[in-house]
Amino acid sequence: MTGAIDRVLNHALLAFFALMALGPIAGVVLVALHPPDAPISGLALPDGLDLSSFRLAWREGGFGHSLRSSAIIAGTTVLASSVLAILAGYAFATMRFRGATALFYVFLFGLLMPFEATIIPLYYDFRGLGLTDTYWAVILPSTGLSIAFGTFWMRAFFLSAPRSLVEAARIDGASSLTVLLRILLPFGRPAVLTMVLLVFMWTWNDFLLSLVMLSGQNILTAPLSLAFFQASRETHIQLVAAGAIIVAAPVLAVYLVLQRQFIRGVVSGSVKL
Amino acid sequence: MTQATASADAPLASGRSSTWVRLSRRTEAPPGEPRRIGYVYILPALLVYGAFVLVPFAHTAWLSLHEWDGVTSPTWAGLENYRSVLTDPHVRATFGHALVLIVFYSLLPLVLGLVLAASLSRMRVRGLTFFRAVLFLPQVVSLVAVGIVWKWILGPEGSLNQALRGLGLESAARPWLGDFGWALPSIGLVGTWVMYGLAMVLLVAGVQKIPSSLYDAARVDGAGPVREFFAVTLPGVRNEVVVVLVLTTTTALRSFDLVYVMTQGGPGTTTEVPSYRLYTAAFQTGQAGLGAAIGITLAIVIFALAFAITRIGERRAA
Amino acid sequence: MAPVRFERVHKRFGDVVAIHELTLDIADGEFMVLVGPSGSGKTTALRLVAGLEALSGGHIHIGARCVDRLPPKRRDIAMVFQDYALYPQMTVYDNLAFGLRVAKVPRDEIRRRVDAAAEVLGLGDLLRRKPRQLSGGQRQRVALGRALVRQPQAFLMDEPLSNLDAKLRVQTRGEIKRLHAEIGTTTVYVTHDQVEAMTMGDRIAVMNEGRLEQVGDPDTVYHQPANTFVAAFVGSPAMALNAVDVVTGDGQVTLVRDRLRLVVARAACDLPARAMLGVRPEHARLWSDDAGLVGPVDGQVEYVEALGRETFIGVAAPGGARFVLEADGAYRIRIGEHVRFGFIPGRLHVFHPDTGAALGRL
Repeated sequence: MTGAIDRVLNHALLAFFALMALGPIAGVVLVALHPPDAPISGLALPDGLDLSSFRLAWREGGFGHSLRSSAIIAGTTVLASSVLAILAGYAFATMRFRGATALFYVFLFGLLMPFEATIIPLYYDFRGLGLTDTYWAVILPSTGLSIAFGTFWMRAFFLSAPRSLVEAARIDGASSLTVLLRILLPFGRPAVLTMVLLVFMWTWNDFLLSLVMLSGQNILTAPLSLAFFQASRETHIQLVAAGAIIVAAPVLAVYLVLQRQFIRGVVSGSVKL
Repeated sequence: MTQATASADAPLASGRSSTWVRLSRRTEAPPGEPRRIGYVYILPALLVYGAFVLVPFAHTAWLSLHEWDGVTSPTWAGLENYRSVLTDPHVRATFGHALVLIVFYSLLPLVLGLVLAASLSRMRVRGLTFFRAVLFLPQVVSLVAVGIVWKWILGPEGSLNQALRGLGLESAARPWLGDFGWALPSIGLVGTWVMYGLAMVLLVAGVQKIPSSLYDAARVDGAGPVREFFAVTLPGVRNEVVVVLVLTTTTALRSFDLVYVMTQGGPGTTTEVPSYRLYTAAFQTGQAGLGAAIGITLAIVIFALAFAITRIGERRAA
Repeated sequence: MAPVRFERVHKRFGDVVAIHELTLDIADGEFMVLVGPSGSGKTTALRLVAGLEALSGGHIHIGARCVDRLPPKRRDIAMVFQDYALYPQMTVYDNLAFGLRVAKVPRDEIRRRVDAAAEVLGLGDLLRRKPRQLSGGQRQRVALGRALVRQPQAFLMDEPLSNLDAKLRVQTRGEIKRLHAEIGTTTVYVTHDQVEAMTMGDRIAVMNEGRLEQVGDPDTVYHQPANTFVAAFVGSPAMALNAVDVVTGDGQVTLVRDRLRLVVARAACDLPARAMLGVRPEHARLWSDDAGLVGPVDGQVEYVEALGRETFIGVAAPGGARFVLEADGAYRIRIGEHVRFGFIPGRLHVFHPDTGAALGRL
């Protein structure tokens, strides 16, 4: 019965890898459920579900503020980059104009280009303009980078739409904007949703940009506040663990609800690469 | 990736209604077809992207040719900074460290992914959606949180050492992140943990697209599992392998977050990676020019690597 | 409705010429079929009328207007696409109404027209559904309906039946013809299927490699093909074409190929020394002495296609000539057997050996 053995083996393999992936995360959750002053040693199980570490971490880490800031930054970035990427991707996919190919390569450049290659002048220029330590300092560069990805993504989607659809609409008299808004976009909800999710996740989790731009006087993003919190609470691992969970929670929540969309989007998108 | 995405296809120029064909310069546009308005659609995106990505990149390139402390005026330095990148042992070492990380972030996950893909190649697994969701989890969590979690696990009293002691391997337990020899591989292993799920999800998806008739044909020809893997599975997931390699090597070469949170480049400079060196140079030691040069070099390496990977991937196709 | 006119239309895609100097007049209310193999330029010609491609030369007139520079929406045309191109997220009603809404037609007028079209096409029950809930045939009718409500001067149809299965195709063919008879709008219809062309068109225009080979009513095109291409393209099984030598004697013409000798009455025109001989299967029959046939010719059976109502026999004749005979459906003969056959006089088509142009019939 090689069939059955194969199946058991496969499930065992999958289960093993899944456990490895889940393990550290589960471990952190367990640690965070300990009260703030209890001594922790490695793989300890909590006596009861104690949320006091979460409460303390929330207060002392200022996570309320940083979560709000991250939400503002991620939300604005997602909104701005999505709108601009949809417009640009649509044009690249359905319109012929001189230099379109070259311009598209320009956008493609931003997909691979490491962000580290731009922060230095960004920081000093923003500082000169007095923009450091503001939301814009993080939103603007994030939006720029997200546009590179978004344009590539939406163009790939619009290219997959049958050309006759656009032509039929054109014969019916629709303008290019009407075609986009009333015919193609309603069709493209999954693609747009995936893009929104990915950009949200990357912007929320970004660290380097926030670290450089925000000094911590005014605003902090969630990962940034976590890093600072961790530096000052080295010994109280359960507080730090609670903080880590608080910071990761929003994206995890979105992921859990929409994970099918997430993964399907990533898988189908990689084919387009 | 450059090759496959290079086809900036535009709407069709002939015949069948659903094909997209490369635009020929001499083909006129039909009346009423949106053409120049395309520029209007692209403009806002181009402006934001240009202002906050392209211009800074050019600026970085310019900076890399100067010496600057961030306060006074930059002074011309020609290719001096690049010479440092190539010859200064410390700076060069950071790229060496990045290469080591590539083994962990990229090659290991790829192998693990291929193993899983190979074993799943001929069957539909129940509950795959659930497993995919779990495997993908490490990609979703902020790397800062990941760094914190693993810092605890790899700590002197962390879970790993506890487990080793529990298994009677007392001598193997050590301060992983504080050990001159083990710190970098430790960070590498964290990277493996972060990336292997992504590799698996992509490769398994790729494998499931291979028509089972190919496997049947191979089996009729008398191929065993190993031969099947090299003859059918591997070529079939070629595209996914390219994507996985490009994504993972790029992440490996950047890996700032983990280093910052877990080791701050230490012990000594054993875990300094280029992006970390860039950060300290530009914002702490007043060597913005050097930092810029590191950034540009990093970009060049990433592009070259992506290009090479795509090329090799395509050559295998022939 | 209005006539559609191609005036020396020329279309190039980069270096490739898709249409060479096409001149074609389509009368007001006519159902004109453009037929030809792929690459013949028929679809391109249609798209030029629609305004989906730009002219490289020449002019196109719809009615009294020269529409060269007009965008599609101003040309007062409606198009049915091969894949129907229905707006996927809209209901059937919205699909039909879309163009009218864009043109800002008042709401009750829209309702009136949509209901009328739905009635004619039997879409009444489907108005609230979405395209993905419809069968292929139903989608096709929605595509037709969308064209109908626009009440244009001309309908343009790009192989609308290709995606339907055979039975549905025949049924829908009839429906489209019936619609045309009722409404009478000028229709330009593109297909690669010559059976469709023959049954549907008031006139058919046979195109090949960007050139118009012949235009005329189906009968004329079938019985008086202008050249070898048209002769071979129209009609199934295809006309058998063979090269022959022509010997003109007193009072008669002999077509010679190796040991094959056909004696026919003298032709009205001058014939060159060599020619292409074309015979349709229905004009090549088993030999019978008192049938008045031209021949006899002896040959060997190469293949047999027994179709029930008739049987087609592929024959190899002397000199490598090949013919297809038509026999009664009950007739049986085996491959390799000898067969003697002849041709109905007056049905031997003669074409010029080099240009392929029709020279006459013997």
